[in-house]
This record gives sequence, structure tokens and C-alpha cells, in this order.
Amino acid sequence: MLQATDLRKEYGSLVAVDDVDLEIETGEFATIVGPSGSGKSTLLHMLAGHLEPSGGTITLDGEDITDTKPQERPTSLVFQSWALFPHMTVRENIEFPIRTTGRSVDGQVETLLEQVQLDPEVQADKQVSELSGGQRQRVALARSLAYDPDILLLDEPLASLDYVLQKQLQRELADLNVELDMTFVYVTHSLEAALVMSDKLFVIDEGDLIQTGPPEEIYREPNNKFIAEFMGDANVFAVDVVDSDGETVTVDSGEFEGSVTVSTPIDDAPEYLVVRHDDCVVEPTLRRAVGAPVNVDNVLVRGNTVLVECSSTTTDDDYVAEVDYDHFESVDIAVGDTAYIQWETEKSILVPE
Amino acid sequence: MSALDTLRGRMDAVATSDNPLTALVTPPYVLLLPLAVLLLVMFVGPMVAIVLFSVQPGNAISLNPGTWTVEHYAEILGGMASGEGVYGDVLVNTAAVSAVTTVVTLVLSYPAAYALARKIKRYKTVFLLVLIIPLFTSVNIRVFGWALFLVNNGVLESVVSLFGVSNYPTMMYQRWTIILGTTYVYMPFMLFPIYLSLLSIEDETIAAAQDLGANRWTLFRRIVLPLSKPGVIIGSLFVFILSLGADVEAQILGGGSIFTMASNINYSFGYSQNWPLGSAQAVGLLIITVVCGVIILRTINLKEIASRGDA
Repeated sequence: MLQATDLRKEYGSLVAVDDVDLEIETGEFATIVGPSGSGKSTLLHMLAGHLEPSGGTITLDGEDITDTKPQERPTSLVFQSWALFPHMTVRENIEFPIRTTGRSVDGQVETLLEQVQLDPEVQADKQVSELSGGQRQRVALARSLAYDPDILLLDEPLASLDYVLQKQLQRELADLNVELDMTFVYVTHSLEAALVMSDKLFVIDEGDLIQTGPPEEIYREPNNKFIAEFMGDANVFAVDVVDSDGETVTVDSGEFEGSVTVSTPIDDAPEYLVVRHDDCVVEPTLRRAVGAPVNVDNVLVRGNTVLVECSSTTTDDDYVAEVDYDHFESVDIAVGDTAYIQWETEKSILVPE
Repeated sequence: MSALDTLRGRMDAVATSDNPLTALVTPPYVLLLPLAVLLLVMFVGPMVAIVLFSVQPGNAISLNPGTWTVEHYAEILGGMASGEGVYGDVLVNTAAVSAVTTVVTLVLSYPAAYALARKIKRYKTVFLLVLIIPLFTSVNIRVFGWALFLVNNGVLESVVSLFGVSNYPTMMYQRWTIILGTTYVYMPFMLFPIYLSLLSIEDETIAAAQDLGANRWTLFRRIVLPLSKPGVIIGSLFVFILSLGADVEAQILGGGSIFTMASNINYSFGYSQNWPLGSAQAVGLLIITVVCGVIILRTINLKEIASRGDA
């Protein structure tokens, strides 16, 4: 198990990582997710040994590795820029960690290239500059695996690839994690990547670890408004608590019609109701439990779904509903109409600030 | 067909033309034209004149068609081959000065360039300025400074005499004194190409190598040295070729007793007034320079270096 306790990194008066605790089980695919500048890459580089922590400890299976040099850690980092050695061929890049660790290179390059879906006969003797972005990412992955690490650290390695390739490689990385039974720690600002690949999420913001858990749990039960909005496109309504019995909370708001009573695991009194865009529909009349009167401002067809952009008739707030194309066709809605953005009570998420 | 289509068709025809002259007047080649013309007039023209003079009889001061001779080449090559006369010594002196200067500047420059490019953060600009400032001064002034420093009854002798040293050796007019001068004068030409090549190595490349188990020696041998090789080669090329043509250093620090090819050419054109002989030596020096340059450049893959930015 990889464990960080009170891990901290300061740059002068700036606290990049603020006393973070995390535990990652062996074989787990853990993702550290957060917006740009949140400290997630700093945290990863401390786990890799490239940055010296200002405080705290890192242990691997109980052994303190806080002061262990990167070349002596059983970890390998796939860099955001991939950091392939430009003067070496693909084969030489992959052989590099095998040679530094004094192992035989016999057949290893071919096996590793096949593992990352590259044809050794075609790619092994190419120069790095001859490869596409996706191929370079795969070579960087193969090179890190060639080090035979216990833990593979990945610093947004898919960030500069096109969307289709990102989705394909996300799937392949998740499969590789299972196939190799190796611990993966992945850093990203992409919610989709985090949700698709991970067993466990660590949400970080401004250096603080603000929620940990399985992706579905964090998606459905975010700790606060920031996480709720970060974890998916959502409409946010300010609410007032009108009743609370310890298990359920009833709220209402001047922005929507009706009160909402839901169970919430959050101890703090909720201040916002969050509802995901794809849990909302827009129809001429209020037919669901909760709804807000809106003017339809814009309609954007996105293939199977339609984004209906609306503005509140009572406040200055804007809302969005992402509805199925068939549903949109079945209701009589057009730009300029007055309608209701609405949703079922159980889709409501109550969160504090 | 509209006028715009006609114009577009003509531009396409020019752009796809196989005629190299047509290609030369299209951007971006047209941007090279002023420099190309200048080089043609100021380099190729004089070079042709030198070559033609080199096959004229001794003491000719104008070109006389029909009096071509290779007597000067025979004299130079014969002297070099037999070791007799001045040419054997000149060749040895020139080769020694160039080779030793290149090696010494490389050995001194690489660690300094490495420290400046990858280790020193504070006062880096100050160090770089200190290294650049001597280039703002004329070579003659700097070399005369060395002469005043080293000469008998000069600054160095005065300083060492304060420590009781009475038998000050003759420092001037030795081969190593010329090497001292060329090393000092040409050091920046070695240091800056190496510095720039070390500076261009991405931090993540270094971190990746460490991450993959490389110790310091492996990191230097497998990553830093190969990636800085272009700087080493270009720096060596600069220093070696500039040292081949070192004239001022040989004249002032050699004092007329140690001749290099460049100072001997100067002597032939000036004191001896034997332009054809001087021209023949100049052609010889040019050939040696080009051959050495090609050999040095062949040790690096320019195409691979040019493509590194894509990696």
C-alpha cells in the first residue's frame, strides 16, 4: 500500500500541497483529479521523488521512502510531455531502464511494445521524431513498464492527444492496470478520464485534498459545491433549509417551485441544490416534482442529445438541460418560448458552500 | 476565368516551377538573395583571385595569362614532405596550436557550460556577461595585454619577484604561449555552443532518466553527453578552424620565431611581397580548413538534430 501522511509542499509563502493524507491499495487505479494549479502534479512528483516534500512522509508497504531518490524508488513516472530521449530509437528508449537495472534485454522490447499495442517490427527501430503523438505516449508507457515498477505514476500523459485517441487510451490504460495487477496513480484535470478509469478518486483543490472515494460516490454525493460542479455540468440553485430531522433535509428556494426533501450524508447545512444537466428536461408545463420557470434562449443539437439553454424568468441565473434528441422532438419547445426546466426530486444533490 | 483566378493560376505555376531561377525569386528564397550576392562579391571573388595568383610565377603582382605554374605548391608540399625549410615547422606548429587549443578549450569549457546551463541559478547573467565582455575588445588589444603580462620585466615577473623568484623563465615566443593566447581568445566560441546545447536539454528528459534508474554517470554518459554533442562538435569546429587561421596570436606571442600557416601567409604577402607564394599557402590553408570542417561535421547527424524539436 502506498501511503502519504501530512504531505506538504511549500514554495516560499505559497502552499502547493497542504498536509495531504492518502492511501492507495496495491493494484488499485487511483486518480488525483483537480483543476489546473490545484497541486495534483506537485503531489505526484513528490510521490515519484522528483520533488522534496516540505513536510510529511511517504511509505510503501510500511517502508518510509520519503527521502529515497527517484532512481531507487520502485515507481516510474510517465511525464505529461512523455520525455522520450530524442537521440534514441524506440528500442533504445525502452531498453534504457532495463539496462540501468542490470537486466537482460532479450525479447523485452518486443513484449512491451505488443503490450502497448504497437507492432515491434514496424516501430522498434524508428526514431522518436518519426512517431505520432499517440505512438509516443505508448512508447513512454512501455518504457516506464520496462523499469518493472511496483507503482506506475502518470502525469496527464493523454492531455495533448485528440479526444478520440484519449478515449481509446483511457480504456487501454484501465485494461493494462487489470492485466498487470500494478498500482496506477493517475493525475488529470479531466473528469471523464477520472470517471472512466479509476477505482478511487482523490479530489484536490488549492493544495487541499477535499474528497476521497469511488468515482460514482463522489459524482452522486459530492462534499461541497465546488466538487459538485467540478464532477459534472450542473445547474446550481441557492436554497434555504426549512426542515431537518437528521436523516432528511427539506429545502426551498425562490428560484424553483415546490420544496425538496432528500436524504443527505453531509453534516453541514446545505446551501445549494445541484442538479446535473442530463438529469433535467425542459417542457412547456411543470410535470415533474421540481421545476423553475425559464425562457428558452438557445437550442444546440449534439447528435443524440440536445442542449437547451435557458434563463430564469425570476432571477438573472442561466440553466442548461441536456435532453435526449427523441424527447426534445416529442415536446413542443422552441427558442423564445416560456417553459419549465424540471427534474425529479431524487436527482437533487444538496451541498454546502 | 476571373482576374483573381488568372492571378492565382500564375502564382501556382511559379510556385510549382522546376526552374531553380524561378524558385529563387519566390519567398522565402528571395530573403536570402542580398546575403548571397554579398558573399558572391566579397568571398567567392577574392577566393578566385587568390587561386589564380597561386599559380603565377614568383613575385608577380598582376595576373599574366599563359604563365601558369605550380612551383609554389611544389615548394610548399616538398618542404612539408621533407621536413626541410620553414613549411614542415609551420605545419607542425599550426596543427599543434589548433589541436591543443581545441582540446584545452573543450576541457575547460564543458564543466563551466554545464554549471551555467544546468546548475547555477543565481548570478547566472553576471557570469555570462563576464564571459561575453572580452569579446567586445579587439583581439589585438587582448593579445598585447597577454604580451605585457608575460614578457620579461613584465607584470608576471614583477609579481613573482615579490615572492623571491629570481630566475624568471622566458615565457614569450614559445609554442605554448601562442596556445595560451588562442585558448583565451577562442574560449567563448567553444563555451557558448556547448552552453546552448546543454540548455536545450529538457528538465523532464533528465528527470525521466533518473526516474528510470540512471545514476549520475549513466545520466551523463547516456543522456547529457549525447544531447550536448552537437554543441561540442560545433564549438570544436569553430575553435579548430579559427586556430588554424590564428595570425595575431602567432605574430605577437610567437614574436616572429614561431610561425603558423596564417602568420607565414601574412609574412609572404607583407614582408616578402611574394603574393603568389602567399596565395598558394592560403589555398592550402583553405583546403585543410574545409577538409577538417567536413570531417568534424560528419561526426554529427545534422538531420537528426534538426528533427529533435519535433520529439
